[in-house]
Amino acid sequence: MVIETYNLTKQYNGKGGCKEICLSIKERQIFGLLGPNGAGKSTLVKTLVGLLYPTSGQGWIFGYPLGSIEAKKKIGYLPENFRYYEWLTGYDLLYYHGCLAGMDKDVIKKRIPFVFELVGLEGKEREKVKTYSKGMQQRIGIGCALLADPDLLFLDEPTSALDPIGRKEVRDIILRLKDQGKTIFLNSHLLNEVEMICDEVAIINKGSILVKGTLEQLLAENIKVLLRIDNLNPTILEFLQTVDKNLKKNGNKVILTIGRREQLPWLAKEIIQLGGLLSELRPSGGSLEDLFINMVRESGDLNVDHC
Amino acid sequence: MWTIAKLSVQEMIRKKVFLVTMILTGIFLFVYGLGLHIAFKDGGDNLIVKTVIFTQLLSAGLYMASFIVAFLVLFTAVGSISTELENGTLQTIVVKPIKRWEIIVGKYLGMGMVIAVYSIFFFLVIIALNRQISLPALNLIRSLGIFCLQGLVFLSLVLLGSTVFTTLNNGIIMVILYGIGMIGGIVEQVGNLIGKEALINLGIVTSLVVPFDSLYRKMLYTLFSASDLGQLNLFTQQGPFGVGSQPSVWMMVYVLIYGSLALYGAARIFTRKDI
Repeated sequence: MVIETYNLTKQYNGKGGCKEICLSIKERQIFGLLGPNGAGKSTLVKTLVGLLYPTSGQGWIFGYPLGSIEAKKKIGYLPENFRYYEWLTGYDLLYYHGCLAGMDKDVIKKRIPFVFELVGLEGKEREKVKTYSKGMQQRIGIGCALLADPDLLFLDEPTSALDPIGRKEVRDIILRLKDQGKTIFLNSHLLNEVEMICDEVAIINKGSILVKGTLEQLLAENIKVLLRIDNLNPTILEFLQTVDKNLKKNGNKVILTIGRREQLPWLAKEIIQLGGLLSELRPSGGSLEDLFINMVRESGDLNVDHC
Repeated sequence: MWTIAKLSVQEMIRKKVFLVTMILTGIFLFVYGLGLHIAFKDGGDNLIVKTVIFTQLLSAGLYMASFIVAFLVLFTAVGSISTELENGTLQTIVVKPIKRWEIIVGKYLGMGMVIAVYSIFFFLVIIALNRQISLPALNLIRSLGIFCLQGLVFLSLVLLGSTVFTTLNNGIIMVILYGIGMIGGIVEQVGNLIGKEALINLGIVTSLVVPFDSLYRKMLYTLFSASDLGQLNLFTQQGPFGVGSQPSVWMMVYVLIYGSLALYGAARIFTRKDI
């Protein structure tokens, strides 16, 4: 496992932060951490990269304890509220980060042009960081995280300051890094972005992980189904209510939610066996947005996912 | 660690406060040199009067130089950790495969090197402007070392404050502490002058809390001891910038431990800090 945590908790005077986080993240994938503002996303990321010390619990990166030098050698990190030495040129900034990462000077010099090209800043090497736009500063931040060619990248809201074209470019960079065998831990509140590129997703709220799994698994659950039953009668309705007690009925149309896509044929068969004239069965593709909103609304104070 | 030290040197030199300090240092040295020139030119032939002028002006020049060095330390190091914590710059540094204490020591070495070079320059120019009287080379070297130590010990204290307090609070606290040290030194001098034990003790206690004034007095005493002033050396003991009683060797040992502990404390606090 690239990242493993067991009951990892970081709280501030017993409040806030994240609590009892259990994660196992496999290599060569893009992992998305979703959550509303103040859910504990950044606290979790900062704890994983060694900026915050856990209150309790344990965690490992490539088998090394969180915050250890060995673990740090494996990671690159783009903070959410990043800022760099603005008086340095882009080239000098990357060179400085390369030296801090313990890279050989010749390797740094060879790698810098490659990284500038990768983040789309070629030609801006000798300009001072303070003259960069917000988007360019975000790109140079990604460059700093990438320079040492880490196996694991933590990107905290990497596209927040970018325009749609810039966002796509960063998404492409992330996908290219995945193809190169890197693991990317993406912290984002942009649901469509996560949906587009992530292999695995976890939703966090009030410091606890509510749900986690592959996108396919999560989106295959909680599917809304529109049914049109021409002779909808109380028997069929009673059956449908056993499937979803919160179903909505409008004339001969019913909208209900099922747990898994595999339930669809069974649902159709049961309706027909009860004598229903099923003229339409339309599942709406489960969206991450629906899942996210439902999970966060339902979470309340319950801690869903403990080890 | 050396990467951080190197960057700290670059950062310090590029800061506007450094440029402004350099310009103001130039203006100060010009005015001071002009004052010395006029004082010696029109000071008459009386050796006693000339010696009084010499000792007082040299003492005042070195006192002012100590003060300016302290303020350069303050303005460049006051936010060296706290500001970078506040604006997030340190986040990308701390996640690099280096130990946190290396960041503190690297910054100390970088800023310390600039402070030491500036102190050496300032001290030597002031001595050169007072070239009318010769001082033994050994005294000069020893007092130069103590002069540099003033800035370096204060730097470790400011760095410690920067790991604990916000930039603004650290600035206020350090100015007040430095001020207490200055007043404590003057109170001790007055105590010596009028033979009041209570005032001397108050000065000693103050020196233990903020020992920078003791360093100044030790530096001055070392500079003038065994100089060819002979009996006129007594004049160096007079006035607020004089040195009525020299701090002991143990005080110097205490100052070295004080500075080392402040730096150690800064590294330890930063190592345990949530960022």
